[in-house]
Amino acid sequence: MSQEILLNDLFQGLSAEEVKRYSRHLSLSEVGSEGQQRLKKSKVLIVGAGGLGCPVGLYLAAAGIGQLGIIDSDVVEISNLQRQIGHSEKNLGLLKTESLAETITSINRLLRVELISDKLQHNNAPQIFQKYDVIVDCSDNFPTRYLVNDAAFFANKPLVSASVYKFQGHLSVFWPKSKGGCYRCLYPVNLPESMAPT
Amino acid sequence: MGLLQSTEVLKLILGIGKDMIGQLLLYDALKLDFKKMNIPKEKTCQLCGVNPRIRAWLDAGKVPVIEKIGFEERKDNKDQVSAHWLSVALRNRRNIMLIDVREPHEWEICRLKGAEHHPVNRIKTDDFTKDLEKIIVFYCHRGVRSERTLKIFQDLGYENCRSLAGGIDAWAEAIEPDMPRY
Repeated sequence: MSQEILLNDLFQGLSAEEVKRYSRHLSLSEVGSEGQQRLKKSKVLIVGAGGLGCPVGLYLAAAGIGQLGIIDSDVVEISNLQRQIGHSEKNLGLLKTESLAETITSINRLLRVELISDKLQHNNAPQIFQKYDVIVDCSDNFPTRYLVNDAAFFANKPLVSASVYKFQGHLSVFWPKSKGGCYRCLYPVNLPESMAPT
Repeated sequence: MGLLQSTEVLKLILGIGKDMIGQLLLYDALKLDFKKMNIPKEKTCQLCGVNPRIRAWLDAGKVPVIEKIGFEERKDNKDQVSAHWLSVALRNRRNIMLIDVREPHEWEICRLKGAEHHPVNRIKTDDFTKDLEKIIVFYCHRGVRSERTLKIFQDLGYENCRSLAGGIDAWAEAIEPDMPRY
């Protein structure tokens, strides 16, 4: 007990278990106790619990993010298991949100998870996004990508976006209110009105 | 990609290192190649540009018109040409006008030799000839934007135009394996 109090003094806000668990982070000057507590206070939203969302969820949970939100409305199928490493055979047929939450809390029970087993839509996106500090787009379709881009823009949250097609991967961070363009700058695919078919 | 994504999240939260805000990283697993480029804010962007059409949440979240083209509509269009057809045609004829309708960052990655660059959201139909001797071939990344452009040109009375099925990606796969893909 006294030892725990001592450690608490040294690493303000981290429990003895956390000090041990994150010791490799704490010894990095770029992270340290302050950084670890910042991770602990952070809330990250993962859109999609598939090929990208699984590793993202696992790594962020292990690293000590305080709260992870996971959005997905699908269930685990056997064809997912070849790459979606957060799901397992015993969770076939289960909601992907619940399956991934089970895996990540088995790595780190200290984090909070919010599961949203619905489709991300125009009417629920703003309320969900507003609660999080960083948005991670791990979705697999265009409508969701445009929706996520717009919702992150209006909520002014950084958006870490990745996609995979066959052997090619893309990664971007969009935060147009800070600098650079957004997903629509990359993929406007809008035709000028003069060309719109009548 | 998920690992890189998580690392960027941690860096953003910790405020360490060089951030990737406004940049695009392209990874080719087969070639083990990484390429990084800037994504400038486009003045014409409907969301973050100078005169955006999406001003409030009510207008947000919609997919730009072009992605809405139905699969059937694409499949049935007889004016799609294959990469093989195009490579033979380019070798044997001089009357092909190649039009790349992709965005500037895509044009930077790779392009077809002899192509003209007219990004789809800035293309002006008046710039093109209706001369039937010329075959206009549109191409994009995977064939959706070029197909849409083709449809619009056809509706405007351009009879001799085509779209490259599968886009420059299909070309790279079938004809030019050394071409960078994304």
